[in-house]
Amino acid sequence: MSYTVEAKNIVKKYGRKTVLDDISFKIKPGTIVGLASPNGSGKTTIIKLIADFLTLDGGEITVDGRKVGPETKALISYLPDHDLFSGENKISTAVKFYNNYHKDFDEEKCRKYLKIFKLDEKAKINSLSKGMREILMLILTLSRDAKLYLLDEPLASVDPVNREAIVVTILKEFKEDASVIISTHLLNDVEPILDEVIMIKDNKLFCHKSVEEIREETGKSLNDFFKDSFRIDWFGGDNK
Amino acid sequence: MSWNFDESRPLFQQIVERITVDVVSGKYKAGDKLPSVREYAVEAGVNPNTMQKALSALEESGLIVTHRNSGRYVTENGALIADYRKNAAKKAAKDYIEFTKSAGMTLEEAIEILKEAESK
Repeated sequence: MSYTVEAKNIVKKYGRKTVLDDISFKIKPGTIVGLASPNGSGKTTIIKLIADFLTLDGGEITVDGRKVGPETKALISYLPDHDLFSGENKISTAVKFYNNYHKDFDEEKCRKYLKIFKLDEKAKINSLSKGMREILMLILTLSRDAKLYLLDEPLASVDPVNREAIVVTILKEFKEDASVIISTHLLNDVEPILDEVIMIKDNKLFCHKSVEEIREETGKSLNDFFKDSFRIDWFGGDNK
Repeated sequence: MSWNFDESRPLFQQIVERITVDVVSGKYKAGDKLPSVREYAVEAGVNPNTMQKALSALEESGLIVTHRNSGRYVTENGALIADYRKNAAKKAAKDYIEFTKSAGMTLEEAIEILKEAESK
């Protein structure tokens, strides 16, 4: 069996600053993995490296057993943490683009979800709220039949009601041979659907664990475990 | 609507508890077909692997039976369901007795309160 994602000793630097330092992990098919760390500690960088939108400074990443490159890009449905379409476009243009560009795109499924979330295809993208634009991008991303879904902060601007609807959508579209990586700091909303969590601390891998094991071993929710692991040490270090 | 969980305890245990209650309370009757793993996972709002683990545990306890190709059913063994019902009541009774004891009540007083509560 090949892993959906295998990262071996990966290193990434921006200039002289090392953001990811010797990080390794393996993700099995059929799992939903949370990627959690405080702001600015490399979540988006990891996602972009897997998606082949950035190049490594060391180590190797394979997707479905193949080294990351143009070939693995086709296996990945990637939801970036920024807008992909200019606001002047209509929703229908975005759908058309996805349909032309991605062979595995299911237009019917996409239309079904646009209806469920009350997105009118004739609407211009810049007429949508930030939260609704996120939902539109998520629908497009999940309407592909990919091996790996990379969701970078999918819930950031979405209200609690729609957040729950999105979590249900992710569950409904989850396929046993595919994997999902969700980067988020809103762990409360996604923790019931996660198998595992990967946490990055001080540029290194802090833990990669089953979420049920964390609950069993610590008696804490993932959200509390996360907060306790990253709590700022106000009185330690140099702050005298 | 997803189920309510206490996220500081393993979810699979809570799923087992909840489905056990659904069976002993008669929400699902002996021989009823249960939703598929996927349907159940979406309903509960949990990861399908967690749901799978919970259903496997319920299978081991005998409360759920899997018929090859046609899915999962509540056992037809009424005596087993009755056993589970009794055990669930015992557990709740123990908690209650423990509380009344710690509040300094006698068993008689505790029973008296039970009867009072029932008649209200």
